[in-house]
Amino acid sequence: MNATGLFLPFTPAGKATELRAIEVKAHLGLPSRAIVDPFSVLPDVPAELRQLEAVASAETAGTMLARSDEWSGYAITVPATGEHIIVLNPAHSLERQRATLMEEIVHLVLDHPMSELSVSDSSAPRVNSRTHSSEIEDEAFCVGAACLIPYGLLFDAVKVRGEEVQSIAARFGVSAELVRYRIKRAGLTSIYKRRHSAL
Amino acid sequence: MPITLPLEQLGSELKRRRRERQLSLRAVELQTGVSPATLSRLERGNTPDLSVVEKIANWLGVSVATAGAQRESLSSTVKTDEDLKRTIAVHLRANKKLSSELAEAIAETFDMVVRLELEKQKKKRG
Repeated sequence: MNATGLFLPFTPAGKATELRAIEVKAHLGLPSRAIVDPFSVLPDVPAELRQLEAVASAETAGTMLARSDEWSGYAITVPATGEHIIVLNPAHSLERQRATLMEEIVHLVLDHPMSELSVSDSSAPRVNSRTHSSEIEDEAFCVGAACLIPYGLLFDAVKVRGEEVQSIAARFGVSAELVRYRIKRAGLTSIYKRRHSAL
Repeated sequence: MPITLPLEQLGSELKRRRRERQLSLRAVELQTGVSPATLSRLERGNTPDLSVVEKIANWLGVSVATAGAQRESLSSTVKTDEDLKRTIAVHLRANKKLSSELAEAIAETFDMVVRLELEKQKKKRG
């Protein structure tokens, strides 16, 4: 525990992530130790979640679902109103949608610069491009995970209770994969491995 | 005597005060009558209507120097959908190598959202 009363990870990167997550929670009007439910905080972002069928023709929705393994979700801003709209891949599990939605919310709250998706109008061989920043994507995913599983509660689960990954995942409504990622990024791998054979 | 803030600092002061009090945008909306979307834009540095400036200044207990403030709504300072038609700004969680078909499909959903929002705005104006 430090002078501010916050229980933070021991590693510098873990600490930085947790502080960013606390910043996101402050924007949403939540205390620093809160577990964020991304579905219920949307009005505080503010952003609106729309179903794929509400923003796509049947043909377009079909194309997107056929390529379901290529995308998880996206957020756009309506130019005329500045409103943010988020669309999630409906083929994904609720746990995965929760992580994607949290990531999109982090992008919006931290005011990350948006990628540019350029789509060719020409009917000739189409050349589409997209700008991508690994750093920004990494921050959004990492901070999102910290919002879903706050460090103090994760530490308690791993060190005090000795819970297994699947149990933690079920309790927080996320995937086991996300829990493993969170344990690694929070610097708790060695503590976890003292009680369990592998992460 | 209340503090006088330059208009350009109103958004940052709102953000600071809101976080200090751990208030959500919805909570501030209840106290000021200003929508979360407008509050969020103000915090990001966009210039609001003077009526919004007055409401936020009252809530903060400050006065605001509004020399040169614009009365136009936010939408006039934002690019039109024509300007952005084929380059879309997006936060996208997807494979780094996006197929053309998926990229075009996402662009089409953007077009549909813009179209629906414009129709909604036209209906509101009557």
